[in-house]
Amino acid sequence: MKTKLRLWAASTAAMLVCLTSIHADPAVAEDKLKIGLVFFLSGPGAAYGSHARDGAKLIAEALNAAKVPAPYDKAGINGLRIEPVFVDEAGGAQKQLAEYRRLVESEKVDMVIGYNSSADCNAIAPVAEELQVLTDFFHCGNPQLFEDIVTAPEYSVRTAPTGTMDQVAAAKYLLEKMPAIKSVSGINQDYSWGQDSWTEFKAAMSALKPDIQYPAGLFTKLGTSDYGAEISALLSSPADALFSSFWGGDADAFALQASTRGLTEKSKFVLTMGTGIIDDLGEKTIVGSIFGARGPHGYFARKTPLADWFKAEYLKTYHRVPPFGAYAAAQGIFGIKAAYEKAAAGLAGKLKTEAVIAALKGLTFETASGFPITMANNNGHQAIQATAYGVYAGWDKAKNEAIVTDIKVYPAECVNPPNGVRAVDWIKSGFKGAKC
Amino acid sequence: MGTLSAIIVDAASFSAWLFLVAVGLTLIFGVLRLLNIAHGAFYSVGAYAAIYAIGASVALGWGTALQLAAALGAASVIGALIGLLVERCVLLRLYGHPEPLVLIATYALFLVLDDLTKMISGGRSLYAAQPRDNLGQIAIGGLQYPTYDIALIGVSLMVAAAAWYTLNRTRLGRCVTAVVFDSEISAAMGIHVGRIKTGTFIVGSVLGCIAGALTAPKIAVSPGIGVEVIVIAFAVVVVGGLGSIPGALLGAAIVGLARAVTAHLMPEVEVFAVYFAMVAVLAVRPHGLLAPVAARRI
Amino acid sequence: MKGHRMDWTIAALLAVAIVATVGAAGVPSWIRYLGQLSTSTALASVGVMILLRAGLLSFGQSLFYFVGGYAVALIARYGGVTDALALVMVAAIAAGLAAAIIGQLLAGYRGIFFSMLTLALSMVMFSVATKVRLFGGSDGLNIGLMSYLGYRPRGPDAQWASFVFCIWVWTALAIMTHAFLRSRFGALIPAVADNEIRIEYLGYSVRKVVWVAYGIAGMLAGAGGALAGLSARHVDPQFAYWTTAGDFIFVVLLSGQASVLSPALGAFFLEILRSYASALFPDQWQTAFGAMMLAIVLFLPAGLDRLIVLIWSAVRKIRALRPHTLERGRSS
Repeated sequence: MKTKLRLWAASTAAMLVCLTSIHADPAVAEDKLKIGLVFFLSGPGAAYGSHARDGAKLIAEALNAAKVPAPYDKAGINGLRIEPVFVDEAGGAQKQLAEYRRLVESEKVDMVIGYNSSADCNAIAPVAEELQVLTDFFHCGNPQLFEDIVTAPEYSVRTAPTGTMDQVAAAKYLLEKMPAIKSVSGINQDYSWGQDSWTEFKAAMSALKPDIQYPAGLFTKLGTSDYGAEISALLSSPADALFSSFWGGDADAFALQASTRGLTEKSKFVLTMGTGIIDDLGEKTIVGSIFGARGPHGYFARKTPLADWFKAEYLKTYHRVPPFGAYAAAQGIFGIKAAYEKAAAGLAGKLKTEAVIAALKGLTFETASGFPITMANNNGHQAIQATAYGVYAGWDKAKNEAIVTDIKVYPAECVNPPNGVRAVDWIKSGFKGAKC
Repeated sequence: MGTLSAIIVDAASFSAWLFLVAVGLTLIFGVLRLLNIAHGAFYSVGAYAAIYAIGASVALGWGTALQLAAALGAASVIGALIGLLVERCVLLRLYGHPEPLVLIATYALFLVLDDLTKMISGGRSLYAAQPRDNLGQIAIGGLQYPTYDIALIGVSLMVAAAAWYTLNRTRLGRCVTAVVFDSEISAAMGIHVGRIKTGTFIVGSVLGCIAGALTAPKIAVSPGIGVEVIVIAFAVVVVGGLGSIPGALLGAAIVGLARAVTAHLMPEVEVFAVYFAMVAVLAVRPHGLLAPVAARRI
Repeated sequence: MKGHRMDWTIAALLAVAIVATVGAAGVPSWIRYLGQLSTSTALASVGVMILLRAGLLSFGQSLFYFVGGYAVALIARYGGVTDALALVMVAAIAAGLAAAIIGQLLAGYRGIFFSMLTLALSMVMFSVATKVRLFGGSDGLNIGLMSYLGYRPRGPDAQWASFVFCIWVWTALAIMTHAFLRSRFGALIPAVADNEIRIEYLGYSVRKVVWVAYGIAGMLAGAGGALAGLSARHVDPQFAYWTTAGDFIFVVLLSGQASVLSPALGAFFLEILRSYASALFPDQWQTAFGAMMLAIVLFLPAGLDRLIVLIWSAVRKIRALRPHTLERGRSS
């Protein structure tokens, strides 16, 4: 018994030694910048995360080879070679906290870019502040992150606009298309993203047109495959329009099932994450539906040398048009690069994290979609950007790509709350201070 | 009136899907006394197999019937292969071990198989809606329904009938029933208990793959579709009575009805409907509604 | 194992706790964090182990893990309490109460039906939690920094303090559980799995034994959930999800059921395994993790405990071949 315990102690000690030795870092080279990149690589979230990873990989390699057009033509980040460390975001916030600490302390990354799930962002941000590591929450959309969770961020930044922008722009676009609209129903996934999206959209719609009706607000479980009952319910009292923030496999399944049952003819579809459906379903996408892309990405991208290069390069490497996850990852890296090089002011080598963050505050930088991002809100830690909506008009068989018409771009200050105003209050105030 | 007919059709259509997903699980439990978490992975493997098979047959210019046959064929072959491998290489070594251990083994298998499908497909969302589109629509009670979805109700009932007939009216079925009641006596009577177990597991995994294959034309097959399936299939099987085929049918009907009613009348409680039905049934009838009678051994 | 002899399990628990406390400062915070997670998982797993000794497989200990974690988050948020010890105690009591109530319903269930009903209840909790605004929906709730009996560490000290706190809460509860399992009532628990009728003939109520075991398991899971919430400073509905309960079961199978110390070893091993799988195979960590699980189940079905016993008996055999070495070893 006694010896058994001794053996236990010995094996535990051996495990610890093993841990520290394998993870012991080789001498830290000063000519590289290690970046932890956390995206969903498995589970339903991989519908996004795998694109983000592809985009990040492409950008990191192109930057290292100094192949990216101006203004990012300098090699790496301030001449430092980017060394990406990829981590899977799947597995829940508990696991992600452990992974985050491992990235920082064992992998000794200089910064972390990633996190799609708002639960993960909320859990990680306080730890990022504590460990004092620059962390770019590249694509979670919850305004609460800087409104409630970390109210005075120092090390946490977000280079993507919040989801508020998508809902506000969707409401404005829908009203421009259908000024006589009387009712909107909603179908969303039953978790924070879907619940918040529907709440914000309703608030925005009511602010713009107070007498609008909401006959049904349905919520489905994440990962549902059969939407028969919901579609019947929506068909039996059809609203003029149907709002949905579905993404990934759920969005595809719903779109396929709704179009075969003729729901699309009764209600105008408004899909805030709709370009994901175009990416997956191609010519089976519902013609005439209103689409967004969590920003002015993909089909909405403006023609700039950088945007054209990104699209062409992505198409060449992965044989598809870049989905919006790839744009989000690209803009995350570009934002850091722009800040880093601004802070360096021509000097080579590594910088202090604080100097980079100071440079990022308020910075406006160029993106792969051609619409610049400004770090305008929450003391310069939260991005705003223009966004766009359009209508899917059919499939161009010759070019093998989607025809998107009626594209309307909304300036950043038109659809994002001004600095210091809570998203919900701003919507309820009737978009006070918006510059459209 | 319109709502009532819609609820009935939706419930029937969803129940049919639930039954297809759950029947393999309950069969394996009935004979092997193991809760197979890997069932969710079989479902997603079958779905991917069907997508590729339908894609290939569309490219060859085959008609709808052949497309479906190819999908089912591919799913069955892969299901049988994986079932055989899993039973021979893993489960065979675990018979007689405590239940939790086997449960964890099937969970590990689920993780591996789910990841393998992701590796093969590259994690992309794939779809193959051709057979479902080709079959067109029918109108019931003023609403349009895809013929494919309605046909699945018939397919489900046929699977249920076939399973019931095989188990109750054939020699093979009687052997299986004997093994369920007492495998030692069965072995003494000259039944190849090992073969019955292997065979049942293979049939169960083929059924899991077929459920995926039949669902594939309705959805875009993407990573992670197996996770939700496990929990919902468990719920159906537990409500009906573990190991009972008619029980799975009844369980599917109850859970399907609960979902359809809530989706139409009380959408805000729809997410709880499944688990609530499960808790309610278990609290009243702990062994499920149609559990096979078994004497409690002391 | 008589009373007058030194109890090695308690000695070992204290030794682990002291070593961990003293060594904590020298270990990187990510390993400390894994250690914290292990203590919380270990507590819940000890509960699973107790029930398993009674022949009951609970697939729903995540329910009480959830209750514990959310009790901490809600009381800290709305009640303004920041004392970690008070919070953990309240959380454990809340979870214990919940288990005592649910246990009344469950005490009559056995086998797979017990497992399934516990699973169903935890899934109900999961879906309720994703809906309820008070619980923060699927985003969950964040928890602020704690104080420890008046000591209010900030910055890196805070993480160190919370690690030491977790270790000692685990130690204290493990010792209490150990004492309970060795009491006369505790000895009835394995007897439930052996022969229920015999217990009744001895004049005890099987129902009551199962009920008490379930209540204690729930309380332990609640304390575990509280520690997890304090460590992560965040709770979310994932706490109640069936995969969380699956982890607890896996830990018990991994570690074996020899003593209350075993699950801690298993839990730590599990965290390390997961960490390594995702560090080395970011894309295929599920495969790597699943394959390892499968290998353990197939080749070490009795758990890591068994591995240690096997190594020990091998060592003894080698020593037996060389009696002189053994003698010399002892005298030196």
